[in-house]
Parts: sequence; C-alpha cells; structure tokens
Amino acid sequence: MYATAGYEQSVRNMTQTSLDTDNVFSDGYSLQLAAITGVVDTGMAATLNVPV
Amino acid sequence: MTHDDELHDHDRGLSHDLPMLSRRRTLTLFGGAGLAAALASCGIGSTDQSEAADSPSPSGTSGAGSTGAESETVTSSTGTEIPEETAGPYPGDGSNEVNVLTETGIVRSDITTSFGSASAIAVGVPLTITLTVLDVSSGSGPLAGAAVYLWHCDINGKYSLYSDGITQENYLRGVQETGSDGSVRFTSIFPAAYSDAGRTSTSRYTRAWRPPPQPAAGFAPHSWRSPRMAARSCTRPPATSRVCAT
Repeated sequence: MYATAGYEQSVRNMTQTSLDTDNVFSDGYSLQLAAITGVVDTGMAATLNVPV
Repeated sequence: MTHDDELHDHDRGLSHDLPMLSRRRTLTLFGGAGLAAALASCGIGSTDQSEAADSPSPSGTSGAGSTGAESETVTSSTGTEIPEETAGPYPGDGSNEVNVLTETGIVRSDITTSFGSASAIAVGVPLTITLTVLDVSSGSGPLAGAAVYLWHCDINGKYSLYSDGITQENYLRGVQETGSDGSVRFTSIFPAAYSDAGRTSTSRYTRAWRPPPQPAAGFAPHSWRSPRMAARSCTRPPATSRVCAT
C-alpha cells in the first residue's frame, strides 16, 4: 500500500514503530484493527465493528 | 494543567458541538480507534508489498500491480468494548483550540473535500471506511442513532486545521449518524503512516456517541500517558473530549 506514489514517507515511518510498542494502541489494538480489502488502483475498503 | 483548563472552556456538551444532532442529547463518546494503524500494518505487512512497488501510481492503469489484492481480515470480538484511547493532538473538536464540529457541513459522508470557506481536496488512494457501532450493553446489537466523528491525516501525515499549510482546510473530518444497522460509511483516502514520538500510524480516530436512553459511559482522555481509561459513568452530558471521571 505505502509503495504507492505519494506515500513514500509512510514506508520509513512504518519501519520505525509497531503496534506492540505504540504508546497508544499497544493496549488492545486487536479490537481496533479494521479489515482491509481492495486494491490500490481501484480503491480500498476498511470495515470495523465498534462495540461501545 | 493548562490543557485541562482548555477542556473546561469547551465543556458545553454535545448539543453545542453537534447542532444537527443536538436533539439526541447524546451522552457518551468513545475515543480513538486505531484504524489507520491497522490499515498501515496491513499494507506494509502483507505479502503484497512487492507487487505494490511495481505499481507506483495510485491511478495506475493496469499491470501486475493491479492484480494483487490488499486483503487482510482481522476479526473483532463483538462482546468486548473497544478500548478507548487518547483523542490525540488534532481532534478539531474544541478540546484543542479549533472546533470543526460547530461548522455547518461537518455532517457528511465524503470527507475528501474541505467545506465552508475552505477548498482543498485530499488526494490519495480511495478508501471507504465502514464503522458499525454495536451496543455491548444490549447484546452487541447495532446501535442506531449514534453520532460518529471520524478524522485522520492526509497522504503526507498532516491533519487539516492544525498542520502547516492546511490550517485553513478541514478535509478528512466528518460526522455521521448511524442507521438502523448501526453503521456509517465514509468516503476518504488512505491515510499516511506518520512517525511521532513512538507512535505508529495513528491516522484515524473515531468517536461514537451513544444516544439516550443508553447509560453514559466513556470519554476520550486527553493524556498521552493515560491512553486507555476504562469506561465510566458520566453524570452529565460530556463534551466531545472532556474527561468526565477518573
């Protein structure tokens, strides 16, 4: 995804952090990950349940 | 803290922040789903990375790059409340300077444009975002009539209203009310991953307000050191980002 033109800086940033060490989302990201489908050419879709 | 003082200044409730939804006098909010962290993780971590490199244009015509589906599925439990997180430094909800929630036009599904006197458009790989709000207190069924505010950074990792060059723009922010199926769908672009003091690509946050007569629970703590706080009852309608209990 981030190899797409325009997202170059994201590649570097992604290599520097992880969800396990992220100081916000490391506490339970399994419930916060959206399901991703699609292709970069035609568009992506993200879906997530938000139980509150 | 100065920041707390600022929050109090904006503690005027959802009816103030969301005039179009004011009649619902919604009581709660949930802050900060790391959707983008997930999105980014999926994109980079997937086996599609090499193929994506072969197709460097977001509007590429065809070729090998277009055949590789970016597909990743993470199943969320529907019986557990989603963890609350800090709303981050760019909420745009009045808790940190600017408040876009009072602007006419914020209730919308396509958040790629700026509205009002702003005109910039957010470019990037098209992305639709569907969020389904579930009510844990009633068997995790769909929660209709909840207000969801979603915002995230642009292709450069910048946030409208705050980042240099786009402080006058308000793209990639929008509010919708969940339908009978509990869902809202936003049309957007894939956000960047940004790096900021140990953060992953926290490009997206959402907040959902639960309509009455649901009990109040939840808030978006504004403390980087306390990113997660358990839901607690609020005795009065919280503003969009006030810490109502500790």
